[in-house]
Amino acid sequence: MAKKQLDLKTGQLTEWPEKYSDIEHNPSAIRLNSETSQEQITELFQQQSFPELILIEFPMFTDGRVFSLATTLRHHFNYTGIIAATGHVLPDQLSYLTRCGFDWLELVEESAPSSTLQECLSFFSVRYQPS
Amino acid sequence: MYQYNELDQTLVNERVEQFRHQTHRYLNGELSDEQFLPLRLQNGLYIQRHAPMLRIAIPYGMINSQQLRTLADISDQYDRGYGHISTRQNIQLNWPELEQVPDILAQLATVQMHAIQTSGNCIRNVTTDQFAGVAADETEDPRPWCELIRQWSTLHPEFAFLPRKFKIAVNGNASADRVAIRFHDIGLQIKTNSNGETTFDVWVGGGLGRTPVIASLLKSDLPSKHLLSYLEAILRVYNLFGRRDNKYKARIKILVRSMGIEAFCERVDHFWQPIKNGPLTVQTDRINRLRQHFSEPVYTPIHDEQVLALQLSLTPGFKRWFEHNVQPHRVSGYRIVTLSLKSNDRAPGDITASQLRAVADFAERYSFSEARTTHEQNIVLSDVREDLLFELWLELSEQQLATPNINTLTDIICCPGGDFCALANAKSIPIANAIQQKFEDLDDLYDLGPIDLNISGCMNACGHHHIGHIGILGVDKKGNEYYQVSIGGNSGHHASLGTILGPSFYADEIPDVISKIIDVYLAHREENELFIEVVERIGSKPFKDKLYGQKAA
Repeated sequence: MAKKQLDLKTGQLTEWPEKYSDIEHNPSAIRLNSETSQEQITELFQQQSFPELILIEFPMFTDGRVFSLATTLRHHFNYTGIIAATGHVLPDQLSYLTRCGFDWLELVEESAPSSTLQECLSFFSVRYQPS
Repeated sequence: MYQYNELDQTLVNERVEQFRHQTHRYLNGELSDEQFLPLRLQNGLYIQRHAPMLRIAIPYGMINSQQLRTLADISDQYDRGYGHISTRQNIQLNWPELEQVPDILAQLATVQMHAIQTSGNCIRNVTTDQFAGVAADETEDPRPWCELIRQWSTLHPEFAFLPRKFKIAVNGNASADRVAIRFHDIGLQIKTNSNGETTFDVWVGGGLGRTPVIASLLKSDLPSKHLLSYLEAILRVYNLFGRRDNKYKARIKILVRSMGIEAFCERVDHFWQPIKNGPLTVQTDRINRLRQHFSEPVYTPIHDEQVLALQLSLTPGFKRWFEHNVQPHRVSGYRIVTLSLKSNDRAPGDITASQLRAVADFAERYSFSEARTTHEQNIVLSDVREDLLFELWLELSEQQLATPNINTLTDIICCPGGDFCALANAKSIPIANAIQQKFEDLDDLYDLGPIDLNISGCMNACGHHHIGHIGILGVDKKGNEYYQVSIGGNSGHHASLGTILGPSFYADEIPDVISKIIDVYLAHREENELFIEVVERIGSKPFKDKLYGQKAA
């Protein structure tokens, strides 16, 4: 079965783009996880121009470092490409992901049913924080 | 006090529906126990020894008559007709059914209340001085700043899954610290600079629990417009670098200690500079709008000191209460009244539904319809006209809310302990009640002066035993409950941690142990020296000798 992704901005389910199917061998995409340090990111961005896509893996849904990692990519490194999440993510975290700068959620085996994901994406119409 | 606007109300309503959805999915088997755990905790719901426990937020302790009545109704309808005031100024219900919690939350939302972030590894209820806005010696009312922090921290997208819980306290008083800012993850001390502008001293890495630590000063004189961006930078550093491998080493105090305060400060600065003048900057009109919510009521003092003097001279019971439960107010002709929830026939901090309704009535009739919960687990009516004190005292007495013991040895801070809490090693409520019974004689009690006695049923230290002048900690040894006793803790501006006196005691030995400690104090006391001053002067050795004999030395 072809991989799917949830577009966190629109709530649409689409095919995972073919060109990112093999991230390890795609120079325009990189994979990070919650252990990735700020120094490693600095180094990465010094070596190459901004990748088109950064895939960040949740080792478990309680590992909140991932939220700060995406925030720093957007606000400290000024990264403007696509940020996608993968791994153990709860539907209830999707709006937080969006607000921290994630664009996509890669659907994996442990993902909740897509109807639940879509429903949970839009629980809040208001927020206190700037983003 | 703060009144919701449309955004606040919408957010709370949507949170109720989200939690209803989450509970439904859990009961349907779509969410596992492990997945539901942080979701329910972020909404104040624990699974306890007997039943779930729901902790309802009372933001920085402010509550009005309508809210008190709703709490009373909820505790009657869904619980067993009482609630418990926590040491973070919240209120806990001990017996709700999980299935009914969404309905309870919906009812709370109708009176601008919620249970958001009263537990879980997120930013918790911000606490402050129960005398905020009415204390005579205050630098600035901290409540508008508390509300600003409440809004910033509520459903913050980045900080809902921190390494561990995160507690912030704000103190607006230079001479007194009733907030224990040095024992919080972040403690903020409000100051005023030479231009009359508000600034903050930012203390970081304090806390109790297994590893009690006094906070370090991270930044002096932070301009108030930078408050939120600076807090955000601290939280970002904590979220990225705090330990997640061991929950007992996950609080920010451990991170600060392992990095050292200078290195920690540099990290914070690194993350602060890029956001310093960004959208989190606190605009003057925003804080001024919040200040309007806490503007002073229309005071109409009647100055008739003779009547009060006469009442005091004729009624010894009223005089005792006046001397211990009534504090001076910023406005002459008004007083601050503390309602005691401490007596030997109830758990410290417990309040029944009928008492909640009575407090609602008293607040309405005597104090502009507002009350405050305190971190000492009592309730305050902050604006009582002096000429009405006697009448109020009579009514409070009928409700068992006038025990004249505020700040005395029997005004005990105490966690729910082994009677309710699944984490506890030992019971704490019966220990508190036994001590209260032992020191029932009021004249003897008053002779001892102010003494903070704190009891925790386990080393998580919800009863803040480390910072009691006398601290009692429940410990478990091979399935039996024992109690370790410490002295010399202090929560105020002269913060200190208690010293453990020696091997622990059986429960039934504790009242006599406290008596012996008091005997040492009385034997060494010079003139009007306070208990804590004697401990600081003579050290713990005379107390150890008294309890354990000379061999303890």
